[in-house]
Amino acid sequence: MGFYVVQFLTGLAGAASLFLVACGLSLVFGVTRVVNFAHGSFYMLGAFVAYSLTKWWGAGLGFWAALVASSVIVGALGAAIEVLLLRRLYRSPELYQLVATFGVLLVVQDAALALWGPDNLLGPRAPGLSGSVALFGQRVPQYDLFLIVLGPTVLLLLTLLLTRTRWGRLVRAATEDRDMAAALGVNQRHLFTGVFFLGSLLAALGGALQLPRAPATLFMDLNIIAEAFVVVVVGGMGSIFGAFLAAVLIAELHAFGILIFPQVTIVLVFVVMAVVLVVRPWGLLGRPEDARHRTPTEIATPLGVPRCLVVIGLIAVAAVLMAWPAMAGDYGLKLATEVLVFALFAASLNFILGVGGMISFGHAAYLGLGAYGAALLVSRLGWPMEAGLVVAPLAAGFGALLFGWFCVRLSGVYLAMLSLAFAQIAWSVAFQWYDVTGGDNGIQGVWPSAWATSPLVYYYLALAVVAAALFGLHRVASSPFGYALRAARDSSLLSEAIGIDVKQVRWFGFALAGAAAGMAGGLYAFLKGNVSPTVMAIPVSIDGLVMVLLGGVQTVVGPLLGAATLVGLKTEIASATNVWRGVLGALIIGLALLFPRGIVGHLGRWHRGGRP
Amino acid sequence: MTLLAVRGLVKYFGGVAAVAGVDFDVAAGEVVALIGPNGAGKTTCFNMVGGQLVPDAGTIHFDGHEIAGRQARAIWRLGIGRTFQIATTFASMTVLENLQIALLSHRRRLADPVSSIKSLEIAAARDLLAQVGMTDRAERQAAELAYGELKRLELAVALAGEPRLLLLDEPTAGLGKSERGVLMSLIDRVVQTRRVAVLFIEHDMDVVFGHAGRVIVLDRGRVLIEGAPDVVRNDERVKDIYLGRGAVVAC
Repeated sequence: MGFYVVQFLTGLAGAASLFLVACGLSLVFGVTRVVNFAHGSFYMLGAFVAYSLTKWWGAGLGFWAALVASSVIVGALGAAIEVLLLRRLYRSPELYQLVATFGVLLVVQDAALALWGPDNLLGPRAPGLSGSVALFGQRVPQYDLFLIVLGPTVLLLLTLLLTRTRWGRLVRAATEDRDMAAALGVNQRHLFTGVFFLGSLLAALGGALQLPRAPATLFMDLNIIAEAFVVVVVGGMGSIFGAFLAAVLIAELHAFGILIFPQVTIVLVFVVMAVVLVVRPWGLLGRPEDARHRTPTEIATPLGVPRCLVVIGLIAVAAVLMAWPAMAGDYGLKLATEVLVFALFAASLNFILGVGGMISFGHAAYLGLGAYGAALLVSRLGWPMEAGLVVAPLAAGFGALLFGWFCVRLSGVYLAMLSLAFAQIAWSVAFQWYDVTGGDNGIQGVWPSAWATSPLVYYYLALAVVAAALFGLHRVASSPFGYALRAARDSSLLSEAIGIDVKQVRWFGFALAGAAAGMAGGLYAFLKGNVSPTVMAIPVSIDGLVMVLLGGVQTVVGPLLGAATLVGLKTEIASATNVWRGVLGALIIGLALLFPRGIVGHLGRWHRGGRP
Repeated sequence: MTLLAVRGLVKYFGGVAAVAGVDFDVAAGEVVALIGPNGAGKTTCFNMVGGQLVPDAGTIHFDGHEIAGRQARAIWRLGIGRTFQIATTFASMTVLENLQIALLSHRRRLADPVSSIKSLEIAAARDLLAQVGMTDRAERQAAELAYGELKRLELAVALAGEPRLLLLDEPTAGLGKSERGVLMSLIDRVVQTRRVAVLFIEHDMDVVFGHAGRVIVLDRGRVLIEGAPDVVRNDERVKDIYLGRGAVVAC
């Protein structure tokens, strides 16, 4: 009995940081409507800065002072980022905001690597609370008890701040109805910056508070952001109490799941999230989404490029692709094959994004499912490559059917967050299910059949498969089913009113895109000869989005161009510098700021003489 | 013959009864106007008949089917087409594609992921386009249309399902005087040629009394009075709710 109580208390202590991060995210989203990917970076920086300050100021009270100072410093950094970057993106489509904040995350990651080095940082014990207390015959760390009290205290203080102060009322007004608040003369600029400061401060505090419990690492940012998304989706966007409830729920799942066996926690989190979303799609304490608050997905504007030019362009691209082997060596061929694979991946993402209007932030899950499906079949069951390439899209398609069933019930940023959470779950399974997936090492020896081992043959094989898949996607996009998807994107209200089952159409569209990504994953596995969990990690999902963004959301040739640009850039930057993440991040930020419609989209605009 | 029979319809928003027990009928081929001041519950009634809202109480019978609480898409398949207060079309598609998609949905051909939409239902779509007088706009993107054209396109989309009842939520709102005339005579023609019943919400009294065969007046979620246009026009209570006591009705 005592054991379970103590385990429960451990869970509660773990909930504190998660709550701080999630409610910061929720607050910022409520007011600015921006899902801030870099929120996890503030969490990480909070821990790192507090670590350094503690070292500097020495033990004793240094830790507590560092806790406060670090939160304020990182909060100010958050405010600065809001002023310099996000403020310019409030009117951009959600996708660009998300991708730009991910650019910030990349820059922060490399900055942190440069400043603090790659090693895990072991924090100090909390001065004055380093002992433990006997409870039911078990020992509970004093610091855990402190965290258990801290969580509800912050909840109370925030509630007071939001209900009892003028500033808090303005925040709530802006959350309820931004336009109305603006019409009443609320200074939005100050309000937004202030909220960003508060949100970043809370994230940093959450990170700093973790120091005495766990080492600070460079992976903290992505790990916490995925969990914070789960908390916000489960708790209900914009509800602070909901965030608290969900944080406790998730933390307790971890605390007790670990007793059965560690891996089961992922499944438990998935089940809980699934149940909550089926019963209450808007989260435990959230409110049903108000259609007025939704930023409509940008409407497709046809490029206005004459059809003959499109045909000439396609022929030119085809000619380059066919002639490429004559110009390149083995390395160039492998690189080009990778471009093809990612072009298909980007095109499949472009399909649900452009045609379906659904922002998937976890599309790498389906690339990964395809890769793992093929790899497992070949390496564990000894089937040939051909079978692997057939199974890849099927495996990913089934995965997308399962995850998609939940995703299509949400829209906009909610869908984005949920898809990311699902991808993170798929990643965790691949990472932890050592017996089947090989864990971190992945699966080795995934080679093509004998006839396709030469880079030249494999290049042509990939070219044929990718070309067929791209043609297929294009075909579906212009079919009645594709138009039903477009209709659902343009107006789900009217779609339902003319007999279209919007959820079902979206569901099948999602699954189809997943299957196409899986096809790319299968090709990728045999190209690399191995598969590891990295293939479905968050950065790969973002890479896909960046490719789509580079190529323009609504275009056909775009994904190919985007994939070529990004793969090329990455290879170039990676060979020239070891801070490629930072450079890439800065590039992404720059692109999002300069080309809010993607490069091809902008070319189209110039073509039409600058008309929007 | 009664086509639509609404009985005891109730809808609460929070603690407020937006619709507080409404009864009315619409006969086949009849043109009925639903009028009343802002907040009377007209659009809420519409949304319950069209399936956009689930009633808290009451029944809605359409052609022998109980449709209260059913999905909008199921109601549409039974033969109720509708337009919205703010004209709603598929903005990224061309005018013709808007109609093709509605026709394809009607013929249950939207599951087809292979054929190109370019050649499908073209004749029927052009026919509908001709009926609303927009043949020359076929290739325009819906987002580029003038508001009056958008309203006509919306009407054509609603007709694609060969409805027996049309629900038109403020068909002439936002239109100029001449555009109103064009749209209403269009609706008159549709009623005559297709023998479709029309239930419409309208604030313009010229339109109401010029085109409706019968008028239902809603006030604070209840039916205040219903009857022939002349009867309703001269009813004191109607004058009261519209213009306040002691005023003279200008229409």
